[in-house]
Amino acid sequence: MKPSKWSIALVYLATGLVTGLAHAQDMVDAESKVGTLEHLWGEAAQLRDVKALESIFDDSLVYVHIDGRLMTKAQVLADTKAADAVDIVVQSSLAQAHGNTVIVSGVMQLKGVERGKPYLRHGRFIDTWVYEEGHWLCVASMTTAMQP
Amino acid sequence: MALRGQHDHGHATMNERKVRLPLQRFLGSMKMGSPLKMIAIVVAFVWATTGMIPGQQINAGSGLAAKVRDLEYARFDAQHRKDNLALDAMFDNALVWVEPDGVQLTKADYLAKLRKPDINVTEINPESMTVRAHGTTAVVVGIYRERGVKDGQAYALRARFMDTWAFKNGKWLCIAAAATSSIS
Repeated sequence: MKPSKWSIALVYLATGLVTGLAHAQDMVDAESKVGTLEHLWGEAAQLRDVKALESIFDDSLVYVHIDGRLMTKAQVLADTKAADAVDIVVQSSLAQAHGNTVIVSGVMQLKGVERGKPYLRHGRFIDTWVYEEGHWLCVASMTTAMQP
Repeated sequence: MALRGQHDHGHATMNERKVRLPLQRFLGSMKMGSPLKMIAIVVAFVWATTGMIPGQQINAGSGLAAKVRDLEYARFDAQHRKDNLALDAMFDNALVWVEPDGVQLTKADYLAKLRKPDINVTEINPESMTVRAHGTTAVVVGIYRERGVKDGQAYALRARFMDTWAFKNGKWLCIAAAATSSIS
């Protein structure tokens, strides 16, 4: 008995549908995982937990500080260690997956004391996460100063 | 599935080899023209073509930095010429764009803004840029200069920018772009 064209088309369609659904689920999973990592990043930065930050950042991290400074991973970690206490509040964030890359954009508020003077800054951030060797790592982060 | 598949190219190839042998035996055991065989062929075809995606991405890696650098120059040039068609082709539909004042725009917002007559960019050029590749993703960081007239007022800006490009559906697309306020 020969299979009809319809049955072949149906199998092809079903396979495509399953593949598509699996892909969509992967995107949701990726966004969720990166969202959790973003949360951990915020906590680690606040607690100045350099070890945790080290595992979140890729070794080739490119970081642009809210003041426009371009920093490496080592510089960010050293800066975090040396900095005074900072209160970080992520007011909004959205993760968007593009295959093995996730872009997180959002708004945050930084409150602290610098050289004895209190400050309150608002920034729009974009973080780029890449899935490498079984882990999601932040490869780039940039914050642009904004008016509240 | 796609996340691991796109990343672990070597592992995917090894696994395919291991699984293909029993599949070939299975196909061989079936009589010619059997419905099961036809269905198995269709499934195997879909499976095999899905597995080809990482291969395409590996090819995309060659000369990646130069390719992305060219795209960046083309992007600045298109911005200067207000060439929405060229920018439309370079930007992913889910593009996240952050202006130097921190305002976030969608792709449609940005393209609409570029066409506004109250902004005239007389000069926009990258001063320096570095491309960092991560498989099918590239991050570009650099400094650019911009001069123009906005609402009748002349302005000049020297700012740091960071763009992220992803290789999607056979081409490089800008998925995120941000700039700082003016730096010294």
